[in-house]
Amino acid sequence: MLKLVNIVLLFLLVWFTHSLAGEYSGPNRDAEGNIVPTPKGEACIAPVAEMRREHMNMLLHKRDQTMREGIRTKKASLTECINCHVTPDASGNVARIDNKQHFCASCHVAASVSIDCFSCHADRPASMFSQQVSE
Amino acid sequence: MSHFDSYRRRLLGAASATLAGLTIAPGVLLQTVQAKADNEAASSQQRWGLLIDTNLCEPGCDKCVTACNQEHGLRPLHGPETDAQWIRKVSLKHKQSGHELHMPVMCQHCGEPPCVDVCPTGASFKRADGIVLVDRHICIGCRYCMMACPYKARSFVHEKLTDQLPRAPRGKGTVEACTLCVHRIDRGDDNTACSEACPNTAMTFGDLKDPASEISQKLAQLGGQELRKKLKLDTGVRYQGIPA
Repeated sequence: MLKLVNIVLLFLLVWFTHSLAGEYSGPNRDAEGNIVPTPKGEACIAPVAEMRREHMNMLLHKRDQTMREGIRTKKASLTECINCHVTPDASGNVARIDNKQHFCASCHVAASVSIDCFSCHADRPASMFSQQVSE
Repeated sequence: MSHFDSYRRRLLGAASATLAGLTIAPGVLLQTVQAKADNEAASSQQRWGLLIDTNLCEPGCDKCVTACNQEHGLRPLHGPETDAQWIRKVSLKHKQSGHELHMPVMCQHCGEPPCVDVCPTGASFKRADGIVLVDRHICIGCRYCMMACPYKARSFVHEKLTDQLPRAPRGKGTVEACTLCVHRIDRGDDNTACSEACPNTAMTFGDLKDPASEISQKLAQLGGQELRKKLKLDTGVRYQGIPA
């Protein structure tokens, strides 16, 4: 009897934490558990290994170009990274940056790297905003 | 000197200047403005500015302010004392005559910006095309620029913000101000959110360096004053209908 109660309680706990975590049901993952972005083009702007090592430098370079000179190419633009990599699940919800399933958070939490990009920048794709959004 | 007199004087001066321009360089007026390509840097060939006709600006109307707030995701938080404000509606009354002036005041995008002079980190800067911006990546929130600005145009973000728009990143601990809708300019739009929203077309946006642009034509016809012009800041925002 006690076992049954435990199982029921465990089930309720899992259900409750799941509902607390928001409606986001998780990204698509490959066999190794890596997040697979919903493809919008043929490939990312560079091979995965290079992106993992160099994405911060690309973003920094692009940041200064955009901010200082107004060069708004889409390659290595943070907005475009988010547009591709933060993908809605089947019901149209996305993970926010405080959710470990957010594309950026998924690595940065594991690597214990604090980033503050999203204290200012949008952590969701531009298509999620009801107002007309450009860039 | 009455407003009419100052208008007339400027009109005569401007008309002769325009005629001279026509005869010297008629080809200049045929130039067309091309939208900047994505990979092209902002250039000093342009100087973006606004011309505000205070005679057309209605008392009580704040459509430009609302449009600015919407465009950049500015939301009221803890009251007007600390909320970010990129445009303010200013009303002035001449005590003797009772004449009232109403006008929106925002960052004047100075040619010689005091905020840039005082910034200790280089976060305040002027883009090649004359837009004065804050690079909030390196802003330390010291607020020297807010002290230096003669137009009280800058705001400090006191609170942690959420749900910022992709086109207008903003964050706690940094100073911000009117960007002259730089995201619109970079995609080639010919208006700002405020000038688009004005029901009386009191605000004209354009390139001050292009003699064929609407703003240059209007300035050539009727002139435009700088606010606090004695400071010689060469502002990019000009006003019509304010006392000389």
